[in-house]
Amino acid sequence: MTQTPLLSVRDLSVGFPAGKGHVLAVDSASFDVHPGELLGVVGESGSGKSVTALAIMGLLPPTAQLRGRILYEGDDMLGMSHRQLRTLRGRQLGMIFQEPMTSLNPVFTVGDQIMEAVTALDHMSKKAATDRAVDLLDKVGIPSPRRRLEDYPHQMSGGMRQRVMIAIALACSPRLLIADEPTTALDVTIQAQLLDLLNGLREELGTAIVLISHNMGVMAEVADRVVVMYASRVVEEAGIFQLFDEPQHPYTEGLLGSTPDMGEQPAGL
Amino acid sequence: MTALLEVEGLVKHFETRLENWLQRVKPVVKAVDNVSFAVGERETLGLVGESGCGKSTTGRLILQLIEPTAGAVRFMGTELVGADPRELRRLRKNLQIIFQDPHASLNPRMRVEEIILEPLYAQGERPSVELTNYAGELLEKVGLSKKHAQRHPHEFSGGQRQRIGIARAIAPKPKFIICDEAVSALDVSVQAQVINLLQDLQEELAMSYLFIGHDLAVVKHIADRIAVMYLGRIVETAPKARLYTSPRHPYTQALLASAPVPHPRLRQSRKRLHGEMPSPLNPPTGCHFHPRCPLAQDICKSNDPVLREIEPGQHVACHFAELTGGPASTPAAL
Repeated sequence: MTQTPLLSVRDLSVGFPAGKGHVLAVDSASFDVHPGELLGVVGESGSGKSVTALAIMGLLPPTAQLRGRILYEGDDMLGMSHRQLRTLRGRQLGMIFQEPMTSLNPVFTVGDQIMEAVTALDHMSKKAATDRAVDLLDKVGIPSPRRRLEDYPHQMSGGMRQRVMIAIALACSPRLLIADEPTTALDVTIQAQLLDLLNGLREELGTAIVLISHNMGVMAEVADRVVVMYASRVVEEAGIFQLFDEPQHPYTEGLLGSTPDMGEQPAGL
Repeated sequence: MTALLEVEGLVKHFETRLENWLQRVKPVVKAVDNVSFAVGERETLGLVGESGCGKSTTGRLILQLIEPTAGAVRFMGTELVGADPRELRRLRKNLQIIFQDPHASLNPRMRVEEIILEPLYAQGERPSVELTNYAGELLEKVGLSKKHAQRHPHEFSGGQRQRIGIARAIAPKPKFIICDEAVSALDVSVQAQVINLLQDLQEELAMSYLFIGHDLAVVKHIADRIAVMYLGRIVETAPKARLYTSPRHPYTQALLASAPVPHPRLRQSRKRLHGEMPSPLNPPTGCHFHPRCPLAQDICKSNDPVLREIEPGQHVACHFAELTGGPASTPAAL
């Protein structure tokens, strides 16, 4: 691990005002993402994993209070101007959300939405943008992509919509892709297809991926390293094999024990 | 084994709207297409399949919450399809359901005590001190406290609400409970707790379960026997041990191969199922699985395969079930 990290999160805390006091959604989280790696962030509902992702993307509401540093190739993103951040997000970062139903705009075609992302920072002809959109749909494994450009989101299945989301996230060839529970709403056979797709894209394009999930099985399937979050804190960070073989934190152990695998009885937590 | 519940040739067609005035007949969604199975006393049958395969519809058809298009449902020797509403109400004392969404299935205006005693009021009982005490006992049985009886559902977490749903289902001391994705909405650690609770209660109260789910790992822990559904039909039924070690229907094999591995060392490039489940509005001819099946031949496009016994207790609806066995097709991860 002598490589410089692509992204470093250092002592990140995120608070939200609630009633008279405030809630600490993320409490001094630190971790690194290296170029080309697939980092898993695992934890249960409310553990702070999605808020961490939104903080990295600069998508938190203005009421959020942030402390700490988020360094992208050494530059602190929290100190950046709106314009700098926009360029960085457009060129370097991509995000995929959990619910493909609500994160696509129902009144525009899939093609419009991909082309919006393609042309957001680069001026190009309509034809070039269309070709790029077709390329992207092809890359994420959508059959007859040119025809599907004309589809509206409701004409597609959940798995197809999530592929479109991935295509949009890839529009500007990002170096870091943040995927927040991308397969949670989907059936296992479709989940398996999408995990294969993400893994393939990482190998082909060298994109680093932060994959957020509550499912240890998903981690076992694709992650290189895993950050475990519990009650707003990072409780463990380890290589995937080390995590499964010798979990250090009792919570991680409990999480592994309560994941119903197809082997033994669940131990319960 | 005497069957507590027998389902025979169950069919449910939903009519949809005409797409245009040129159509003469309304398009029909064949949600459940000739489904038969039986559940014995104290047995748990797992019913698994992906979204839209008809598993939840099957659960609702058994309870007569929706009316079957055809088929028979016999419970404790009585036919439920077309039964007199009063008779049905009496039988439902023994036939309860736990729903998936613990947020939507509890009335937010009712107190917990009223919620869990409602099945008893439906059976004609009246509020009394005994019933209030009984509600307290039920709450303790599902791992909550007597003190919770006067609260409203919004004061509880998802896992606690699901426990309230379970308390309501066991209140009339039923013989049979349909668990419709009962743990799918819960976090894993809570999921494990609720599964253990359901198993303990089954032991204690001698109940049978129809456990409907999409997560093969969860279903494996609770079921004795498993039925796999695809596009409205059962494609395979087998005792748990057989289904997971030597699945014979190509769809079951693909489904098992898609489940996430329990340990990173078991990662492997496995055969993935291509494409998605076709629309039940326009299911493929013959075997519904043939467009995605690696073994499909011409016969699969024209002839419906019959569910037939391949090994003792293992029924498979595939023309080539004899060829699908063997270690090569068994996912190594299991």
